[in-house]
Amino acid sequence: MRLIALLSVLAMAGCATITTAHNYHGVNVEGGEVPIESVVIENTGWKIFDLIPIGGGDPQRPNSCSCRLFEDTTTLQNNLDMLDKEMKSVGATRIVNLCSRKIDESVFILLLTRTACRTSAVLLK
Amino acid sequence: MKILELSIVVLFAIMLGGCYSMDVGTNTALQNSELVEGVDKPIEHVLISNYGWYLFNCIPLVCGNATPGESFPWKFFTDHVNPILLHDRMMTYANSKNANVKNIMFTRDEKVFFEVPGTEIPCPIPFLVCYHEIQLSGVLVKPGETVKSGVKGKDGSK
Repeated sequence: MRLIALLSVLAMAGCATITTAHNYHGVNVEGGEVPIESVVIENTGWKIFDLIPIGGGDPQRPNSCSCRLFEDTTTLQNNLDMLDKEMKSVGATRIVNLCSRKIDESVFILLLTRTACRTSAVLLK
Repeated sequence: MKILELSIVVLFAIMLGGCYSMDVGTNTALQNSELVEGVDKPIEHVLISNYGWYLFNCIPLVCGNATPGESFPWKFFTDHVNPILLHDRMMTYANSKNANVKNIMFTRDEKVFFEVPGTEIPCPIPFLVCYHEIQLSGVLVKPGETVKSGVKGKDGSK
């Protein structure tokens, strides 16, 4: 029973992920630029009654089994910080086509709300 | 008993009621970047969203309040989930920062089968109570602060 409760908390705690695509097959993007990669960043978190955060993905450690409990990390700022980290890791200096979107889903009539903050961009040298 | 029923109805209305929000983020990576070759310096990334409920897909019941300067979160029987208002808020904010806007992207979501959140049981009659949502994403740029690529300093200046 405790294991189920623990697994439920972990599953509901949220997740931060960075997904990148590198293969452009020689195609350039806006302005004839040669891109390094296309990035999709997603951070999810859960709240009770859309107010009290249960947990969210850890923006410091994306793509890992790590979360922040009792903290709302699904913010635009955290996504930009993850993008910053990704830019530094690939040596990118410029961003094009930056856009973001937030999606809310709820279960048990807003008892639990899941928020996903997604940001996508193309990184250039 | 009536007070309890009324409280449940009010609580339900509040929970389902619309919500306007504006999220702003910035960091040095964005500020040192150039969204388009050789033009304008980005300063902030902005995401504005608003949602609400509509009767027969056209009569607004309750929406998030997108009126500038108002603290009451809901707007009843007024269509505030419209791109013109959100666009206006974005431009007003950009103007207050003396900035231009780039990478503007609208996303519109609409559900015509009313579904009590969390139940996944839709009302079988479409367009009875509909859900509308609009999100507007953009990047604020400082006009005239042109930075040529390859010759940037640490702070993005020449």
